[in-house]
Amino acid sequence: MNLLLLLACAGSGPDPEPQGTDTADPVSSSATFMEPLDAPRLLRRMSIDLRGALPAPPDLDAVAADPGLLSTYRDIYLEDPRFEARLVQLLAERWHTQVDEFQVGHYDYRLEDTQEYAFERAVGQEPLRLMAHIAAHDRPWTDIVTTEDTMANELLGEIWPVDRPEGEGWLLSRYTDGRPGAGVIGTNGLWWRYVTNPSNMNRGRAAALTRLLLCHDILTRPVSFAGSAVSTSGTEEAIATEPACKACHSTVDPLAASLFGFYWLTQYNALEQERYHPERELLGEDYLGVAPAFFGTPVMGLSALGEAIAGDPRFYRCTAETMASLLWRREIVLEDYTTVEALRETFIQEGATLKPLVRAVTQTPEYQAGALTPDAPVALEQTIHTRRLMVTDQLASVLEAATGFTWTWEGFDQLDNDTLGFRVLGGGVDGDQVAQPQREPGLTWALVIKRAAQASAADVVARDLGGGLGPRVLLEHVDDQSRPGDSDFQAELAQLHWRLFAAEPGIDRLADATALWTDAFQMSDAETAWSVLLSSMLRDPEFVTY
Amino acid sequence: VGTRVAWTYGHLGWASLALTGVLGIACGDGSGSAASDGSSVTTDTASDAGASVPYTPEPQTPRWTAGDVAGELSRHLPAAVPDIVQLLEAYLWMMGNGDEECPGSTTQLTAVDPELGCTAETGFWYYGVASYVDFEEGDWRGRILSGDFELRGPEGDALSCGGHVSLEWVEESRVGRLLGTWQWSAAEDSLAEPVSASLVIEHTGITEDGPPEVMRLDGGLTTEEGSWVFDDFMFLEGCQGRPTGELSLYDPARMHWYRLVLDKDCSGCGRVLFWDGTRLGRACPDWSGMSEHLTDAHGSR
Repeated sequence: MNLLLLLACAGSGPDPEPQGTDTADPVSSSATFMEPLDAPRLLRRMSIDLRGALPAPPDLDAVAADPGLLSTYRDIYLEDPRFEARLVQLLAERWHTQVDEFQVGHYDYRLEDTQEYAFERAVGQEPLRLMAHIAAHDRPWTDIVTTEDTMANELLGEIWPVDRPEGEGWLLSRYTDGRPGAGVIGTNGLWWRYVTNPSNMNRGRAAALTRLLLCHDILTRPVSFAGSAVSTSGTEEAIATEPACKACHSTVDPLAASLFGFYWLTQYNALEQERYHPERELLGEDYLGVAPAFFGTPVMGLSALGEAIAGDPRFYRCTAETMASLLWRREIVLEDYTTVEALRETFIQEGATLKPLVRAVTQTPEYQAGALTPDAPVALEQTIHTRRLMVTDQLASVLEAATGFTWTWEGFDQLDNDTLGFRVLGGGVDGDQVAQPQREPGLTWALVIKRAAQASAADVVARDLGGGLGPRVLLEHVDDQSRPGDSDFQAELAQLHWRLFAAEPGIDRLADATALWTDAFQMSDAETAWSVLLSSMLRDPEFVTY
Repeated sequence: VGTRVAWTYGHLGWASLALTGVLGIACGDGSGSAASDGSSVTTDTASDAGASVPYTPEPQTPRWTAGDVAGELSRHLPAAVPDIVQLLEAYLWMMGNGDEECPGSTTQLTAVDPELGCTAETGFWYYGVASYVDFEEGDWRGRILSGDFELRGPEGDALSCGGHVSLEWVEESRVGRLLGTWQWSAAEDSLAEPVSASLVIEHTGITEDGPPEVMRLDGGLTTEEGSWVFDDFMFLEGCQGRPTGELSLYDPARMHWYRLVLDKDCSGCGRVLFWDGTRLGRACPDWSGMSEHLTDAHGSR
């Protein structure tokens, strides 16, 4: 058993062939230790990252024949309508707004319990949808803090004071309650996630803003409690006078003072929380004793704050850092400085729109890495992820695209919530207790993968072999009379491997698959046998990593 | 061969798929990725100083002149302050239409289903929580309603509240407070639409047949007509309905505030300042009707 585990953990992965194409500077010294994925696997990685779907077999064929086409496909993926939806999930990993509970619940709007999930996701996705829309439509990224637009779906259009055009799904909309145009920092969805109270007085929100938009994490600063007071009045006095306190609060409090249009006099009340309160903007100075300002520059209200953020060099560097982190699937460290700086420069040179930045990240050696060379430093091995784990949001979209299967129960997407679902168990981010996606496999992740694979396999096989009217989704060649040894059977196995793994199956793999199908068939029937085989493929390490 | 992968799961063959969970434990750290929000590693931003930035904030310049400010105030402010008495009356009327089971009290809303509310036999629907107090201690008496609730009548009338409203009387003075967000669909004034406020309305020297000696407003108010912040804004007896004090006005198109600092001589005129202190000149809004409106709405005993 020990030997088995050793093989599993350190075993040989695919043998990538160096591409030597489409890699951009900057190339940090660590890049010399990275070996890129072969073209089909890299296409698969880009497709999952940018579209949440597997590449089509003809696309795999094309890049296998000509790896130079990778960049062409990457650009096609960036224009794919699914890029916008994928960005929502990527950005959610950082913005943490897709929580399962807000202070205001669906019942406050007299929505049925079956609409709870839809309500919570609609609220949490509002700022994410806005950012994703801006990125997908090549608008300047500064719009995320300056535009008067928001995004609303039918549900938000019904319950919030927004002017939403007729139509289906998420549409550009405008608030009608007099709130300033300030992009995401003017959205309910952001401030329903980052709430405040009478003692905090928007300070936590201010810290969230600097962290999310400037990568300036005030909470990481060391705090000295020497001389701190115990009473509330003492605390307020200390904030204003103690040098150790003022070091942070001189930045935080003026920023917090600019957010009082979202300050609620009553918590947990829908009417209070869904509306902007212009008349409270001036309360900030009264309550906090400082005028609204952004790092020393006076600002009047959210619009000016958004503009100040857009004019801050840190905003651009933070965007580059954020996208690199999301696509490299790891935290950024000091050693990444040069690479991130180059990404920032590209971002600005390309007009500060997001797609060129995403494109640049996918051109970094680390993004394309499939393995490390034998002489790679151990520290590098511990830092980068040459193989990335598919977690719940990716799994859900990839399975839906590949099999047509969606897993819902009682109105809840089972892979996208933790109230009645398995989002965190499957490695996802809940935005509350879990702030980063799972990077390495774990027990509950494996169990969620298993159940999702079983359900989607059964679903797609029933559809493809059940004689329904619709076009086939996954099984292209076989019917319920196909048997091992038949040409269509063998062709099916080959296309499944190619489609699902972006890899040509070896003889051993084909034999294993045939044996598994045969065993299952002997105990049941052809449809069940295909379900068993597909289920095993959809939880194969080659499928659930990328 | 000879290539190391930083993390790999390994291929064990189809027959070994049952080991997935075991391998997960073996390879994973089991941490579940739990992390604090503050875990992002940042780099020194000092080097960003001087970096090119493709965005220049718009200069914050005033859209309105002093005359515009006067016009805006004249048009929208006089009738903006809502009658807060009606909120207390509406609440008691709707609570009075319940029954023993729903909401179980004519004054307190404390025992209804927190997610569904309840519907009385009369068809009135009660949702949320509220506390109502009617007190009298010597010369001091008052009515206080606090809550987070929505009440609906069978004809569609709705009273919605997230906040607090109170009226207190001491001898010839009265103080009204309106906090939070309120809406009373049957209202004939601004409360027919959501009103957001942190407003104190103070009347002193109330008489039976005339305006009070002093009517004072402090705090903020947003209605469908606009947003204002009052700072010691007063109508004094003998000033012929012209106020003193300060008043700030919100421009929703540009999200700017303008401040009117009224003269102390009851002229009803004053200096208009942009939010940053820039002087925009003098303004003399038409205050006619505002004093009467406040007296009618809140001056009675």
